[in-house]
Amino acid sequence: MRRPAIGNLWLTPFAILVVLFLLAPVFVVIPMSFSDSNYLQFPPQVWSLRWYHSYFDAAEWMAATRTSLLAASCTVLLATPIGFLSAFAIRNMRGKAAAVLFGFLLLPQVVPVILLAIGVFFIYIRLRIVDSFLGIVLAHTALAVPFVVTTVSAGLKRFDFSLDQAARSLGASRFRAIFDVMLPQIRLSLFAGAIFAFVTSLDEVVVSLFIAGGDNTVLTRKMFLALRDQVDPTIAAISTLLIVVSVIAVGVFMLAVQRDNRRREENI
Amino acid sequence: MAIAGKSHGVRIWPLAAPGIALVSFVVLPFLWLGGLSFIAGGEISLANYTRMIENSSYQAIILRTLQLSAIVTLVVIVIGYPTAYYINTRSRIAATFLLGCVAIPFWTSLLVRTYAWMVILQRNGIVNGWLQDLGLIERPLRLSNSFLGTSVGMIHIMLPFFIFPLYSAMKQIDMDLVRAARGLGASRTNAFWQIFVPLSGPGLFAGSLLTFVLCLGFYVTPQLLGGGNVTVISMKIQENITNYSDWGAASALGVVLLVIVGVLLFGASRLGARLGAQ
Amino acid sequence: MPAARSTGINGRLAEGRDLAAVVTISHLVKKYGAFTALSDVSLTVGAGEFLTLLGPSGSGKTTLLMSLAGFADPDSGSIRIGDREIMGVEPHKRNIGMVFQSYALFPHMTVGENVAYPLKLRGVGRADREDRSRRVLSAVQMPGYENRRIDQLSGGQRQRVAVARAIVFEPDIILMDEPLSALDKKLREELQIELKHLHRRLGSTIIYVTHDQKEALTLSDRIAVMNRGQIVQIAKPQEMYEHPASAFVADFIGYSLLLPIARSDSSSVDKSQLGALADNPYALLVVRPEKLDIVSEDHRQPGHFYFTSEVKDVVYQGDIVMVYARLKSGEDIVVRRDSRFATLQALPRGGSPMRLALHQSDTSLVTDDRAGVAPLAS
Repeated sequence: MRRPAIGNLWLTPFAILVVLFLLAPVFVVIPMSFSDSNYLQFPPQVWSLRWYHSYFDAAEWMAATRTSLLAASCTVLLATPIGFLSAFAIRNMRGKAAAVLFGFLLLPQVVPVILLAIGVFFIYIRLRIVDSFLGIVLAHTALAVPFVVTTVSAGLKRFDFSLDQAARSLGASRFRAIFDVMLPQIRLSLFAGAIFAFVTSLDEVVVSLFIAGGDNTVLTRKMFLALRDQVDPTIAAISTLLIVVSVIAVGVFMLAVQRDNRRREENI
Repeated sequence: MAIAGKSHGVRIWPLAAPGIALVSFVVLPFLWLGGLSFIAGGEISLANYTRMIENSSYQAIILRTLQLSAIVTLVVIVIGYPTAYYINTRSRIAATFLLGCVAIPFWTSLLVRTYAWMVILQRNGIVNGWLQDLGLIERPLRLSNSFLGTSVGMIHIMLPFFIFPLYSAMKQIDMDLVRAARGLGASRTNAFWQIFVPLSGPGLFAGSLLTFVLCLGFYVTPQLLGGGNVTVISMKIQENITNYSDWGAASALGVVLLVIVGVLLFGASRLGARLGAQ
Repeated sequence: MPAARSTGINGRLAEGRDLAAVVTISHLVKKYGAFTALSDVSLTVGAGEFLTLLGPSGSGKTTLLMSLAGFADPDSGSIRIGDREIMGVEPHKRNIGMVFQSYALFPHMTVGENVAYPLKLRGVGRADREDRSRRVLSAVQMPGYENRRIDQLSGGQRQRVAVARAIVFEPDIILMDEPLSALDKKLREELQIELKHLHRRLGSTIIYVTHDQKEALTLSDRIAVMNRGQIVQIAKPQEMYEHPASAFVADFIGYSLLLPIARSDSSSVDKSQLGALADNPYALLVVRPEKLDIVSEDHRQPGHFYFTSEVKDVVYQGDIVMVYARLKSGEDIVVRRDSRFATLQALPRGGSPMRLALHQSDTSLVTDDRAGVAPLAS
C-alpha cells in the first residue's frame, strides 16, 4: 500500500544520494582489497590477491584473528544466556523496579565507551588481568549484554505469558515451560541478540586498545594501530572479510525471519 | 487479566544477578576513578579540575567536542529525516530494499568504515580526484586529517542510528490523520508541516538526542580521520593515561564528559515526561 | 446427544474418580496493595459439577480461578481438591486442566502435539499418546486435525483444541477462563451447547469464569455471583434468576427494574410469604419485563402487585415487543411480550393508561447493595 507522498519530486534523487553515501565505504573497500598497488589507489589499476596473502600469511594477523573470533564466540555464549535471564527477570517484575533494572543494564550503551575503557583498565591492573583473554571476554560480554537484553525484551513483550501458564497447568515445571514453550517462541530475538553480541565483540576497538595487548591482541586493536601508524592495504582485505562476516550473519538472520514470516503468511 | 510470573514468593530478580554483576563490573570502576579525581596529593582537592580551568587547551577540547557533535547531529537530522520519510512513503518492497541499504553500514565495523573514509577523502583519494577531473579545484583539498573529514565519517556512522528509530516512529503514525487534514482543506505542504512533523516529533527528538550523546563519546573516528588536527575529549583522556599515566587528569575530564551526558539524558527524560503529561 | 456416561473419552469410567474430586475453598484472601481482590471467599464445588463464577471485571472471579490454577498466590486461606491441600503447590503439580481466554495453544506445535503435550510431560508412551489425543480430538468434533498447525485453525476450532488439551490427561478439575468470549455470538451459542454435552458425557468437575450472565445461565449447574472480592449469591440458574438475593444480583443477571415496594399497590399480597423484608419500607421489588401482565382496570386477585402506568412507546423487535411506560410515581417500566398476533392486537397504544400485574412468586424483595449505596439491612 502506498502512502500519500508529499512533495516527493526532489526526494527520490535525494534518497539515491543518501544511499550512495551510505554504501560508499563498502563500494570502495572491497575493490581496493583486490588491488595490486602499495598505495591506497582507487579504482585499482591491477588486480591481485596479494593483500589477502599478506593477511593470511602473517602469523601476527592470524593470531589476532583467532583471539578475536574466540573472544566473540565466548562473548556470545556468555552474553546470550545472561541477557536472556535479565530480560526474563525484567519482564516478570512490576512497576518501577523493572524500569530501573532495564535502565541499569543499558548503561554500557549510554556511558561513553572511553570511560568504560579506562575504568576497566584501572580495575584490570589491580586484578592483574590486563592483556588476558578472560579480561577481554568479561569486558566484551558486559558491552554485549545490553544488546541481548534489548532484543530479548522486545521478543518477550510479544510473548503471550498465558502460553507459559498453559504449559505449567498442563504439568510442565517452570524450567520445562521455558524450554518447551518460551524459548521456541522467542528464538528469533535470541538469535538477533546473539548476532549483536558476536558483532559487538568482533568490532570493539576502544576497550580492547587498553586491555587487549600482548599475546592476546585482538584484530580490531591491531587494525587500529596499523591505521594510526601507516596505512597498509592489508587492512582493506581484512575489512572486506569483516564486511563479509557481518553480511553473512545478518543474511542468515534475515532468512530465518523470512522463513518465519512466510510460514505465517501461508496460512492467512 | 493475566496474572503473569510472580508466584509462590519466588523472587525473580536474582535471575538478573549475573547481568547486574557484569554491568557493574564495567561501569563501577569508572565511578571509582571519578571519585579518585577529587583527590590530589593524598587529600581531597579540586586540583584536577582547577588545572582544567586554568589550561585553555582543555576548554578548547571540550568546546571542540560539543561543536563537532552539534554539527554532526544537525547534518544527520537534515539528511536522515527526509530519508526516513521517503522510506516510509515507499511500497513494502522498496522500503525493505532501502532499509537494507541503511543496514549494511550499520552492521559494518566502525573501524572499517572509518578506514574507508580515510581512503575516500585522502589527499589523492577519490573525491579529490573527481573534483580535479571536473576542473573544480586545482590542488587537492585537505579533506582527511581534518575537522571536515572527521564530521563526514561520524555522519556516516550515525545516520543508521538515527534513521532506524525515526523510521519505526514514522511507521506508527496514522496516515489517515494527514489525509483528514487534506480533506479539511490543508495543502500538501501544510498537512506535512502541521500534522506529520509534529506527530513524528518524539521520534525525531529521541533520535537527535541519541545521536548527540553518542557523538560526544566518539574516539576512533576523530583519532583516525582527524589526523591529529581534531582533539576530542575521549582522545585527551586516552592520551593522559597512555602517554602520561595521569589518571587524575583523565578521570576529571571523564567526569566532565559523564556529567554532560548525564545532564542531557536526565533533562531530556524530564522534558519527555512533561511533554508526555500534557 | 446425551451419550452414556460410561463412554468417557479415554475408555475409562468417569464415575470412579468422581468422589475424590471435590473442591473446598475456605477463607481465601488476596490483596494487591490497597486493592482487595478476594476478601474471605469460601466455596465448595461438588464432584461432576459445572460451577460458574460470574461477575463484572474486578470482582475477583479471575483471581479466584488463578488461585485455583496456582498462578495467583492468596495471602491466606485454604484450597483443597479432595483431601489434598493445594495452596503453595506449584501449578504443574496440581493436576488441573485449564482453558484460557486466548486458548494459549502453542503456535510452534501441531494440533496433535498440543494435545499430546500434557501426556508427554506425564511420561505416556508415544503410541498411547497419539491414541488418546486422537480420541479426545474426536470427542471435541475435531477428528483428523492432528497434523494441522494452530495458525490454520479458526477461532472455534482453536477453542475445541484448547478444551481437548485440557481434558486429555484426565485432570481432577477443569478451569475455564472466559473461553468463548473471543467468538462471535452465533458460534458462542453453538459451543455453549457443545460444552454442556461434553460436560455431561465426561462427568468432570468444571469451574468456569465468565462475565456473560446468559452464558452462565445456559451452562451451569450452579452459579456463584461475585462482586468486590466476595461471593454475593450462589445458586442454581433458575433460583438465581427468579429469586436474586440482592439488588446487585438482580441487576447483573437478566434485565430487571428495581422498584421500592411502596410504588406498587400491594394490598392483595400475602405479606407473610414475602420474608423478612416485607415490612422494610426501603426494600426493592425485582420486576422483570417478561413477568408483567397487562390487565384490566378491575382486575384484582390475591397474590398480585399492581401498577398503574401510562404507555410511552411500543417497540416491535421481531420476536418480541417491548412496551415502555411510566408509573405515576415517575419511574419508567418495561413490559415484554411475544410478538404473536393475538398479543399484538391487544397491546395498548402510546398515551393510553395501562394496568400491570406481577405475581408475588415472580418476584423477590431485595436490599440495595449496589455500588455507591450503603446496604439498608444486614
